[in-house]
Amino acid sequence: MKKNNLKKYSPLILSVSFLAVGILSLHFLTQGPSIKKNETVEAQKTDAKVNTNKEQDSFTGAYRKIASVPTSRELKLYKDRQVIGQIPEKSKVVFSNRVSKKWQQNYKSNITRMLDGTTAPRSIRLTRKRSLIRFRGNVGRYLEHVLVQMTKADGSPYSYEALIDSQTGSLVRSWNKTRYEFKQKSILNLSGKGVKSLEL
Amino acid sequence: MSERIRLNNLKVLRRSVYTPLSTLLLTFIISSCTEILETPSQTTRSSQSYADIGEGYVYLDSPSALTGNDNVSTADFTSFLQTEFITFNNNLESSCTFTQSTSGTASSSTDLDTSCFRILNDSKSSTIPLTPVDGSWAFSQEENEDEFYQVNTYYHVNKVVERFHDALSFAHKTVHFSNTLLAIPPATKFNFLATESYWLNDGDTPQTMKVFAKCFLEDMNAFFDPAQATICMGFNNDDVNFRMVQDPTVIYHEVGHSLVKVMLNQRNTEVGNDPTNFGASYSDIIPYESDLGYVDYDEAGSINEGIADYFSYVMTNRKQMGTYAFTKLGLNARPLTEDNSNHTALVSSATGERLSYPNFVHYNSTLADVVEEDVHNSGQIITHYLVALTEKMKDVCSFSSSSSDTIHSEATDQVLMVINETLAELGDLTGKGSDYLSMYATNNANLENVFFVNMNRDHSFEWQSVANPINFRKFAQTMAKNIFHHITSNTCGGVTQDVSEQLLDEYGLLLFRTYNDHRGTFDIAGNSTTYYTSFAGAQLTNIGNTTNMLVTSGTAKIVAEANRKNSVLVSKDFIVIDDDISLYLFDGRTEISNILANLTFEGENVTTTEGIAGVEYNNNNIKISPGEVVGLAMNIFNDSNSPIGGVQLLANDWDHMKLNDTTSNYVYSTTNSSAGKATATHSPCIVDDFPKESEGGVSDDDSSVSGNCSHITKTNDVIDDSDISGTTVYAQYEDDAPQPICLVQFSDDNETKWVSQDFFRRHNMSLEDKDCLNNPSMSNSNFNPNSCLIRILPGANQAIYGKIDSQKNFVDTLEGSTEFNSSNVVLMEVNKWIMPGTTFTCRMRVRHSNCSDCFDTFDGSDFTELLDFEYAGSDPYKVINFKFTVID
Repeated sequence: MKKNNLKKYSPLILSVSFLAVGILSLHFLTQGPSIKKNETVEAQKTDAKVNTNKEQDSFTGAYRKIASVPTSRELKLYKDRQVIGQIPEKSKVVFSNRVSKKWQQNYKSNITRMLDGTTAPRSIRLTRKRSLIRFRGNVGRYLEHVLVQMTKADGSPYSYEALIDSQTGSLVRSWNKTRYEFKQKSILNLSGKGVKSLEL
Repeated sequence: MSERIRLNNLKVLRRSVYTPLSTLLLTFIISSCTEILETPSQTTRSSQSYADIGEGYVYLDSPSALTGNDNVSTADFTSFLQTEFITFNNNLESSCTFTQSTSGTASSSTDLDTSCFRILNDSKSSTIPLTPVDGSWAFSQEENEDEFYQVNTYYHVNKVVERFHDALSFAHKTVHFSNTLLAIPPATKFNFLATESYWLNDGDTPQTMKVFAKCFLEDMNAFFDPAQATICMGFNNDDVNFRMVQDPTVIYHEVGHSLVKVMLNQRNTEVGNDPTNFGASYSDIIPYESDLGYVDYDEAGSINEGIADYFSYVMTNRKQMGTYAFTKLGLNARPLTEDNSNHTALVSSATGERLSYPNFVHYNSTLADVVEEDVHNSGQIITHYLVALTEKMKDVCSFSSSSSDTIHSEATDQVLMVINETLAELGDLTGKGSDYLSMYATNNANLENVFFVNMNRDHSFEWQSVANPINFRKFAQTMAKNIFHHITSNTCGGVTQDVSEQLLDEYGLLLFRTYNDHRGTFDIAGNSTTYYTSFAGAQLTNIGNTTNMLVTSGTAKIVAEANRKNSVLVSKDFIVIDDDISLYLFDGRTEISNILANLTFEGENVTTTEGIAGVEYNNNNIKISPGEVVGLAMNIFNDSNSPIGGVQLLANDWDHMKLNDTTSNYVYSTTNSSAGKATATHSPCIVDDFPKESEGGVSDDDSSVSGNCSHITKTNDVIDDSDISGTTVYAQYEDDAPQPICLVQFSDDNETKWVSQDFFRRHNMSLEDKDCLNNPSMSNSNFNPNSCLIRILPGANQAIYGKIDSQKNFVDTLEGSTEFNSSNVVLMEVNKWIMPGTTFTCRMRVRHSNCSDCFDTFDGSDFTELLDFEYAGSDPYKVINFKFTVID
């Protein structure tokens, strides 16, 4: 619609608008409540209140409520790393591992070792999202939070997130794995694989 | 006034555009504006009206729904386009306004700091977001196909996200404020706005979900990638006229997966005050997240698919989904009710003819004679249940108008409310399950060491994924609890306890005896069992008003047994190993390489111990040989007269060994030995009369003494690594440390005993730490020499069998299938230094979802739900001793 046309039709649009407002207002005013089975619900709600109030009367304990909460959230940090768990007193902190420059290389090497030959991926990409420390008591463990992106030989992309040990590069836990609608499953052929006993 | 400011003003108006008055007012403003712009010249007109600023041409449904023809060869929307508002933003993105109640009558709204989703054409990094032409999103299907589909993708993604947020607002208000006398602490996050947990998050930042409208995939598909917050709506060259986005029900389904993730993880951010630190403000974000579905096939994955399908029903009010897309792929539309004609089995909505569990676990509704284990198949049981519940509510509840749209909207609001409550609780990794039970939210230090769901904060992830994962029983039980307390007792009394239970039963899902609504748990600090009511002796108050909110008493609500007609509970005693074939063993190099690769692509930890074990040793002789990585599938036989479902074979560590001397508890390792630390030895506890005392088994009867066999770990902690000098960690075992499952046969002085792997490697093999599986170079201070010789790979430590029919094994249940999925096997690595002839036994644990004695105990009068920590022991399971000898 051209700008000029719009200007031209503005009065018409305006008139139709006010007419529609009038009709709709009349409709809402004349339409009574069309609530189904309203009485039943109210009666049941009342019953529930009565029952619960009886429980309340017999209780003598203190009240607890949700405390006022800060309006923003922040990462807990220690040594500029996000913390999992409670940060202990600084003088008592000890670490069960250290940060190695090779953690990423070690993890990647672990992955590629599991993906050799015909299963080799087209690409593997590791992105460090953040560095963390997990505290249990006074003991901290350095961890790295990574995004792992891989593409299979058939072109299908996979990714997940993982916590990696900052020293050894071993996988501690992984989550957020790709969910395909039609999944390519790992199939194991059963023929000849059944055994009765594996004892001597 | 610049155009930008003017558009922003219009954006504000957009928030109330749904009311007719606002629409007309908007029309007035636009029509009276002197700077109105031209609509794009490249757009075409068909039956749709002109698209103005912020508007675009959209198809409201799939080609099949629009034409009434399931089998449409080419999607031509030309005759069906409508002009709809898209966005005033400069890209196809939304900041997701969310309204949260702050009391029974007040609310506040906010947008995310960033866009909550953005539509892009494809996943290439060079792809530029689409911008409107002169403010309009009107693109034609013929001339601007890619742009047209992006706009339509936005329209449908936005529609389902807005619908979800409306439902979440309703849920939040209802469970927190609408009834001041709620009986259970709500799981729904109390402060969505402060925590921004009404959307996907990456740490402390809301995530922008990217939806690719034309996502190239060599095999036509669609997926949600939670790690990158992307949705890929497939397209390829097999049929360039076919795109997944042409079927909005598939969009709703895929977005549904992302919304499942939101609901499941909403509680994994905490803000509040720390009463143990002088009330200082506190904020904590758990950096990992819950998944609903862990392996190829499991019931959590089925529930995820079922809820994703339910979103399609919520949006369309139709009883099938994927009609266009699935038909294009050679399948049929997926039915959402029993009365749908696409069902190939004789099912109906009549009592006794529903899609019941576990009978229909392997049922492919649209492909007759196909028996397969797939999350989409068993997920249909969940979808059918959720749709049936909604339809029942439409019959028995009250609604604000008699319009079918209103009734559908308000009924689905209530079902989404209980789904949200259920997922919020089950996905909670803080161990609390409700803000009312959080020390930080309530500023109550008494709650510090009390956990109400998923074991505890340190181990919630493994509890939620392996030890006590979400299955059909847990989901149905939590749904029933929430239906009773939030619907029956609040929003719709017509859904009585009987109505709710009878419907669950029709689906075979009345798999529990109590609602567990008092949440039995364990107080680590007090070292005692406790309940909602007793952990701190306080009532809960609703912040919105001063009326106290009561929690249930220490007695859980009981299921009416008369309602259990179709749901059959079967004792774990009926699980046995098949007499003819006890297991399937996979030790071929290629097959194991492939399965390791696939699991690695999926992020599972199946890394073998380099130099000690690996597929290079695999010899495909169907025996367990030194150095191999083998796949094991125990051939479980169901000796009962009813099918069992959700059979889970666990090979993870559990509390089955006794520390011989709790004062000598250092892990036997080079580090500890050279430092003269008192190193530990373990003996196997006698479980089901194995091993006998004469074979090295030990027992005791004092469950109050930590370290005893009869005392189950309450924390599941394994290694205490607090003894550190300089940079050296002297690792110690916790008294009740869960231990790896495999024992070794040890012969000495005419005695044959079962001993720990650590003992054997020291006394029989003199094997050093570096020659162990998962040695310190991999595991550092978490090294456990009790898996030095045989080690279950942690990413393949459970096997799932969806259903085993009565008097059958799994293979026969699959009608003689010759194939297994990776989720049917456990993977084990074998140390290359093991001497051939060495015999092991591995203590695997099995249970199933419709089990009569795996989840609760009976004291002669009442059933009590087992506590989370008990899943670290043997009681909930049938223990299967898998005995084998390593042969070269």
